Amino acid sequence: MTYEKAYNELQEIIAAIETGDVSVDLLSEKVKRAAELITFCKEKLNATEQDVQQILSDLSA
Amino acid sequence: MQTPEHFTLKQVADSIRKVIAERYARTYWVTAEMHKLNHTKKGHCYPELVQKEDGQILVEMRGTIWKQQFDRIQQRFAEIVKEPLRDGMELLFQVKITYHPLYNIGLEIIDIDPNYTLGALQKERQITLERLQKEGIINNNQFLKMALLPKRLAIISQADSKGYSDFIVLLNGHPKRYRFDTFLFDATLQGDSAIHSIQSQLNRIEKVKHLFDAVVIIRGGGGEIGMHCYNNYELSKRIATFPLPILTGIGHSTNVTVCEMVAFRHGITPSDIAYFLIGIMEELDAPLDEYLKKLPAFAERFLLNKTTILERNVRLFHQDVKLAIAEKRAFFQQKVHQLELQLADKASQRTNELLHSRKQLRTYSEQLFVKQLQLQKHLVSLFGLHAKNRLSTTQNELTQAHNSFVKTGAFVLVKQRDQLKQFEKTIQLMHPINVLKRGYSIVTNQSGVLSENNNPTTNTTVTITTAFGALDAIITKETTPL
Repeated sequence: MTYEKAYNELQEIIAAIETGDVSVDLLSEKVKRAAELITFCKEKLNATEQDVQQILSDLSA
Repeated sequence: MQTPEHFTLKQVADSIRKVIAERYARTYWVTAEMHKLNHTKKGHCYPELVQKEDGQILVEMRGTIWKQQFDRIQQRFAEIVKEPLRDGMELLFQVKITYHPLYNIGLEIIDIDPNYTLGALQKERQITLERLQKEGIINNNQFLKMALLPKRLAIISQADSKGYSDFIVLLNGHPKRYRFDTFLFDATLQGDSAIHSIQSQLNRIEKVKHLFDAVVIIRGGGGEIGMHCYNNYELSKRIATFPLPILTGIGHSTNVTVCEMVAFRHGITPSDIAYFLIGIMEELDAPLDEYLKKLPAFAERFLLNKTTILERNVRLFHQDVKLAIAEKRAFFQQKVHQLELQLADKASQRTNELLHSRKQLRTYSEQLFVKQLQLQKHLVSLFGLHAKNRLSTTQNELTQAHNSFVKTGAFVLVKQRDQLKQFEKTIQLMHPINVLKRGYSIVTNQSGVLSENNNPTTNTTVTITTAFGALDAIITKETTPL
C-alpha cells in the first residue's frame, strides 16, 4: 500500500466517523482500521525503505 | 668598402618602443576572446587573446595582467558578473599597447569591463527563457504532481560540499525522526562543466526514476560565482521536461537562474529545500497525531450521538405506533358501523322482498282458486244445460216411444227396453266431458248452446268450453252456413 492510499483511506474513515456516516456495526472495525492506517503512515514517515542495492543494480542495468 | 650606418638591436628595440609609446600613448578598449588566462604562481597572468572567425584564429596577441591589477579586476568582475574570469570568455579589455624587447609587442591589460560580460550573460539568460517559453515547456516540471510523501530523493550535489552535508543533517535531524531515503548523484555544480555533469546525472536518474519521488539539486559553500551555467538552454530544458519534480537549492543569486525558474520548486539554500521537505512530513504527521488523539473521542461522540438518535427514534416510534393504532381503530370502527348499516339495509330489503313475494303468491293462488272455481261452476252449469237438453230430447223421444209402445205393444216394449239400454250406453258415451276430451268444444252464449235457432250475432261474446277450460270470444264475422 502507498502512503497516499493509506492516508486517503484514513481521511475517509475519520470523516465518516466525524459526520456519523458509518453504521454502528462497522464502527469498531473502522476505528481499528483507522488505527492501523495511522500506524502504517507513521511508520512510513519514520522508516527507511530505500534499497540502495536496487538503485545500483537498476542503474547499471 | 665602408661599413654602412648600423644600429645595435637594443637601439632598434628602443626606437620601436619609443615609436609605439608615442603612437599608442593612451589606453584603448578592445574586445577579444580570452583563449587562455595563464595565471602564474606569482599571481601575474599572461592571457592569450584571440579573435576568431568561423572557428579559425585570425589574430592572436599576448596579454599581461599584473598581479595587482588582476586581483582588483577579478574581484570586481566576480562581484558584478558573479562568474569567475575563465578561458573562452569574450571580454572587453582596457589595454595599453606595449613593446618589450624580450617579449615583443603585447597588450598590458589594465582593466576588464564586467558590465560588458554581465550584459552578454543576461542576454543569454533572456534568450534561454524566451526559447523555453516559445516551446511551451517552461512550466512543465511545475505541472507535475509530486508524491504526497516525497521521501525517496535523488540528490545531485557534491559529496564533499557543505551544502550537501547540511542538507542531509537537516533532513535526518528532525526531533520526530522523519526518515528520508536519499541517494547521491555526485556532480559538478558550478561553472561550464556543471552543465554536462548535471545533465548526465539526470540521465542516470531517469533510468531509475521509479525508485524516486523527486530530484534535489543542491549546491552550497561555493559562493555565488559560476552560476551562469544554470542559465544554459540545454540544462534548463532538461530540468523543465524532467519526469520527476526537481527541487533546487543552489545558492544566492541576484537574478534567479532559468534552471531555478523552471524547477518544480526552488529555494535559495539547501536548507530551504530541507525545511520544505520536512514541512511536508510535519504537515502529514500533524493530522495523524490529531487523529490518534481524537479517534477515541470521535468514536465516543459517535456512539453517544447514535444512542441519542436511537432513543429519540424509539420515542418517536412509540408515538407513531400509538397514533397508527388509534387511527386504525377509528377506521375499523367506522368500517364496522358502515357494515352494520349496510347489513341492516340489506336485511330490510330482503324482508320487503319476501313480504312482496308472499303477497304476490297469495294473490296468484287466490286468482287461481277463483279461476278454478269459475271453471268448475261453468262446467257444472254447462253439464246441467247439456243434461237438460238431453233430458228434454229423451223425454220427447220417450213420449214418442211411449206412444209408439202403446201402439206397438209389449213386444215393442221389450224392444224398446233393449234400445233404452243401448241409449243409456250411448248417452254415457255422449257425456259432454268425454266429448270435450275428444277435442270437441261447446260454444254457448247467453241463450245457451249455439244452434240453428240460436245463432250468435257479430260483436257478441260467446264462451268456448273445452275440456281444459273456458274461453270467452267475440264474434267478429258471421259466415254462411255450411
